[in-house]
Amino acid sequence: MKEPNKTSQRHTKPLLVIAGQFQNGKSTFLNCLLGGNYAIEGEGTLATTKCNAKYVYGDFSEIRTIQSDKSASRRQDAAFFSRGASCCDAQCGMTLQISAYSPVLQTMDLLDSPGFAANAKDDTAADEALRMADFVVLVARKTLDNKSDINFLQNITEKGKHFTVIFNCYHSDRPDSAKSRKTCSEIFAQLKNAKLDSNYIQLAEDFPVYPVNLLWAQCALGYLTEDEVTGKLEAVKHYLKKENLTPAVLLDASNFLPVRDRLQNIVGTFFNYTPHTALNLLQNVADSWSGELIDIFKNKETSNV
Amino acid sequence: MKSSEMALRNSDLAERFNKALEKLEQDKEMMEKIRDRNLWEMIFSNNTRDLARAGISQTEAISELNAVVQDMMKLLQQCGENTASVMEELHDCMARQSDVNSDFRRKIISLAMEVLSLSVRVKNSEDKVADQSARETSRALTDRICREIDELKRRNRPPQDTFIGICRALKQHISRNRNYLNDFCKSRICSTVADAGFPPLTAEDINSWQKELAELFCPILSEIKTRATGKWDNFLRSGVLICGEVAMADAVKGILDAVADSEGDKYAEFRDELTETIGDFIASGKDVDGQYVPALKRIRKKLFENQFEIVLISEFQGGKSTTLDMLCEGREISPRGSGNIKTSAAIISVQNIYGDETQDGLEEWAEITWLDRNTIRKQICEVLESYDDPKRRLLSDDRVCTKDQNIEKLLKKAWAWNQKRPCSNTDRLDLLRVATLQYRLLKEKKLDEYLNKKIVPVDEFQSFVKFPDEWGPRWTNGFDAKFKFEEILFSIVDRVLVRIHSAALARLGCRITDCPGLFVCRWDTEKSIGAMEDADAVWYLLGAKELGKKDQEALSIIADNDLVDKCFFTVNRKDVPAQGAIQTLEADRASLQSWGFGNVQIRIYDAFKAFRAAQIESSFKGGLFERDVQCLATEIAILDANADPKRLTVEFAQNMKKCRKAIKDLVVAQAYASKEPSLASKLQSADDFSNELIAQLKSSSGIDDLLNAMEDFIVTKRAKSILVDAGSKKFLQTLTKYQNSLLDDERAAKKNYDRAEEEAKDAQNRFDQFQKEWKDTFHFLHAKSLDAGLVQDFFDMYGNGIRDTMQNRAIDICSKVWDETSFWDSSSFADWETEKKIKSEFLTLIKAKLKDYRKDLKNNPKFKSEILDPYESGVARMKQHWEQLQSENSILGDISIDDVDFEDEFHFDSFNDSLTGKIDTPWFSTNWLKAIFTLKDVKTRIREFFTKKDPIGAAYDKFCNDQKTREQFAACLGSVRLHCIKTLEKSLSDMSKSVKENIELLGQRAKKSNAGLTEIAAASNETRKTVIEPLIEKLEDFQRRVERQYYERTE
Repeated sequence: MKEPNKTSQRHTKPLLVIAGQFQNGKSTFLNCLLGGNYAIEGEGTLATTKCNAKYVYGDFSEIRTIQSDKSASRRQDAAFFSRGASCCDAQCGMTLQISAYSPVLQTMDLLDSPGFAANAKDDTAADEALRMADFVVLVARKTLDNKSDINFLQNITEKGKHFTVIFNCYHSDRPDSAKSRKTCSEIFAQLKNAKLDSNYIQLAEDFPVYPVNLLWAQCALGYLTEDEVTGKLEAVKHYLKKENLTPAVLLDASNFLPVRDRLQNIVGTFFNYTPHTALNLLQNVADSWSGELIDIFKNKETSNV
Repeated sequence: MKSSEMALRNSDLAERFNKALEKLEQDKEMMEKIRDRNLWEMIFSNNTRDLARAGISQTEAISELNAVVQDMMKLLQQCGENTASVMEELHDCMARQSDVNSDFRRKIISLAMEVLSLSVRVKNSEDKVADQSARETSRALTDRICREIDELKRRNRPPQDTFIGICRALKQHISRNRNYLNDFCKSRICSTVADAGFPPLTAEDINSWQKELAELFCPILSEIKTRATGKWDNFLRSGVLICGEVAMADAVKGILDAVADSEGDKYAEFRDELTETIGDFIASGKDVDGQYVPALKRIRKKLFENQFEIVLISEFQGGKSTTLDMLCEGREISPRGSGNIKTSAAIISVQNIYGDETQDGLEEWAEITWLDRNTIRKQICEVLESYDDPKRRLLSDDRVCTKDQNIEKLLKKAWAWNQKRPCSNTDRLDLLRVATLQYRLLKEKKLDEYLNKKIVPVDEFQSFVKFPDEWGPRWTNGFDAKFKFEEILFSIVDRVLVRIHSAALARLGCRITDCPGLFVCRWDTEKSIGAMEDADAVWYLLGAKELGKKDQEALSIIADNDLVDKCFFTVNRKDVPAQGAIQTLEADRASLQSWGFGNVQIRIYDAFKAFRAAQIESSFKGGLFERDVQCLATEIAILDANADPKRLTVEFAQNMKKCRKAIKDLVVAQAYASKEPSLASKLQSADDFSNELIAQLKSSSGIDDLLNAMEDFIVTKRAKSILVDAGSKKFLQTLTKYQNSLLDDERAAKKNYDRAEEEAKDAQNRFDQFQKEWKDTFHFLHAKSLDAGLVQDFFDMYGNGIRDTMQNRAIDICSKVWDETSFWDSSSFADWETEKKIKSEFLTLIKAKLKDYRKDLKNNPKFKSEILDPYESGVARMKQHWEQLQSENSILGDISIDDVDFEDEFHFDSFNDSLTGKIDTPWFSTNWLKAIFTLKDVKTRIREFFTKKDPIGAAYDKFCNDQKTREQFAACLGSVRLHCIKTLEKSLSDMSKSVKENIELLGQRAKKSNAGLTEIAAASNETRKTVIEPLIEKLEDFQRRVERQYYERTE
């Protein structure tokens, strides 16, 4: 049977790269975006994602391994698939291409990069991911540090790429709590002081850096097994002091949906079928670029409502 | 009871023991019943069978009892430490069996004791003493003590006196040789005491002697109190609990155990030894310049202060402050962050207060070390240095004097620079921010008020050591960022030492220091690195995440500071499940090993849980401190938007239970996060904290294990750090420095003499060379051919003139003689007369001519070209050469070339008589006669004779060519040349003499000045050989002993 050639189509789709220090919740964020348990999530301790894993739209699940010399091989066994990106830790330098059926992938490809600052090998993979990226989402768990985060973002800015930062709150914290807001504005100040705001895209006006509670989102989105959810849900119930917790309430509290929609909008509107180099033109259009962008989203949202 | 397992086994044994005893009693009763049967009963019973049954049953009971006793013995053997608890069980058990024969009870107890002491003896004798000399010393020591014990036995005093006597003997012999008190020694002393059969001591006795014992073993006891070791308590309790009295041997064993176990005292002994050595050295006055005394005194001070400092290091938000606060019994000493933003801005150390020390009337206090104005200025200028214009410099050279307006100008310039450019170096910005704040403070008049505030209450310093809220966002205005005065005081705080009462700190017995987090910004990182450099050990808090690049960098700093073997690694697992943390641990251990940290132990604990557990315990004891309650309320308010922190504070302060509930909520949230649902639900369902719950929380936090490990770590490292690294090593370094300086002195002294010698040699060489060179140059003067040339020149010049003059003069003379004398008189006379006259005239003439020649010698071209010019130019060059030599070597400095000009030598007075010679005239008589017979006019004939025959010419030629004449002439003319040679030689020899004199003088001078130096060299040498070298050896031995004491133990 002749395989459908999707290459050309794939190339025209924008690539959203999820980056951040190891164990900040990149894979969790990706799974939340995809709505399925695709990437292996760590326990917050060891670096789990060992090589770049690219997620593309496909009607059926499939994994391709693309070696550094561009040769591709196809595998489709469930065991391999379920182990996802961590299975190929022995072969760094290659990229996994995972096809999945997820609405988010219709407008963009996603790339889960290994966390940086764990070891040198992982950083190479993260750099490689950055090279391919159209838009970067940095997942942070606390204020940025000069050593790795700021360096990484400077690298992004130098390459002319645009990025946003998402703050993954502590398990028990509400994204809209004063504490989270404080951290977000601190992170934003760091970006500004490091002169990184030129390429920074603010996802919402009221949050300079967007806070989400990925644990809550994860529980609410329903892609985890029942066992996994029960354990986590107990804790969440305690945090939220609510006994009757519906997924809708939890999802709302997690602040995740807006970020998903906005990312889809941004990437869909501005990067879809647009070579990323054209962005430089947009960059010059106005200083209040991100503000305008938000206005657009707002209008769009109100019209949707 | 030490462990639950032990308890289980003990109670099990007790149960069995009880049952066996009960059965034994029943059987005894049964047998008694059989024995006392009345006739009726005897008839209707099978007495033999019943008796047999009772007998069998009793035998069984006894064998069971034996088995129990055996088990008990085994247990005793296994855990010698728990003797007291086993005995306690046994005692209880016995007490319940009140009817059992008391003899039997004593027998069982004594049996148990015997087994115990036997097992200890067996165990101890198995312990081999490795060191031969130590073994011998320890044997000698034991012998001495045993002899005194025998002596006490002989005196037969009351038990309490005997005991005190034994204690004194122990104190006397052991205090200085505690290192040699090994297990063998202990068991021998105990068995000697046991064999002596002293009566037992009562608990009251021991209690009443506590004071005296305390005086005897004061350091040991105080150490035991602080370290809460169980040996001493066991010893006291064992006596009281078992039978209200204790055997003398056990009491002595208790003392020996306590002594042997008191590391602190051993430590103190080592320390005293070292400080004494240093003191002796200072007192000996061997330190000539006294320049090493301050260093040595510092070492001694450090040894006495006994201050061991561990610095907590981790990335920001790694749980350092929580850990520190946990050790402060849950008090909010170091400001803890909320989890995402950096908080600690200064170095905070905590230290326990021993006893009832107070400061400025405060029971607990914080000592703040502020940076002084000059240091602040220097720091600001260092930051601004890179912004200064290299040409038009605004910063003054010594930094401190830089004008305020210049600093402000530069600060503004720096901010403008940073605002314009894409900031590639955020580190620079961080430093600039702090410098800006520091400058603002400098301008404030009320700063001095704060700088004088050195001691403040514990609740007041926190605001000085915290980064202001919204640190980053407030800097968007750059130079004009708005901050309150109090908020920015952190920038001029060097460090804070907090002195509080805390059991955990007392247990660790050291100073713990919390630093700002690493790598969040340059300023914090620099502060932490600075603290690390001063620390004795590093407590490295690994995050729950596996080690990354940043850690590698931090650890490399540790390695650079030579702290590799003084690192204590822990993982603060925060909200990570234990399983996850263990996984990380494996990875971390591998990383650490590959980074050169060896096979390290990493402890896992949960700072947050331990901190909260400590708070809960405090809330039960005496309530939380006001500040802690405030912090708790703020923390709750952050999480719950509806809560009002002020109201909460009041509520919590009034009701500790509410306070605990709030803490509980926080802990539950954390327990869920760390995947401990059972603990979480247990806490959730509980109304308040029970002891069990607190224990569970503590065990989940792993704090006890951590503190135990920490304690061991400190005991070992403190010894190494204070005794070896800060003590003996530094002393050694100072000594080595001193030794080197002595060596230098010695060398310098030698060098002075050597240098003088060298200089002299150089001068001599130079002079010799000079002499040779110029002798060679003037060697041409020695050529006699020069004189011959002059003679020839003379004859060439005057020869013809003389010849002509003489010819005319000869004719005149002859004519005159002819006229005056008779022809016949005597021709021979006439001949003679004539000849004599001619000769005389000739000589006069020659002499006159020679005189003329010599007079004009200076203008004589031949003389000039061959002698005068070469000589004069040679002399000029020689003088020049000499001047150069003089400038090169000081010895030649005051020697000048004697006059070698020969102006005066052109007076030839001595010459007149020296010239001799004759003009031979054999021609007179015959020719003379011939002239007569030719009858010509006599005068004509005379003229003809002289012109034709030219006798004068012939005579003159003969005279000229005569070797003797020429030699004479040469000698006459060569006198100038010879004079030159003579003058030169004289001058050179005079110079040579002077050089020699000078060298000798210099030698004498060098010797004279050297005499002092030689003395110094000799003294240095002696000090080195007799004082320093033995001292170094002694110190090396000391180090070895300390290492043996502390390392072999841990290994």
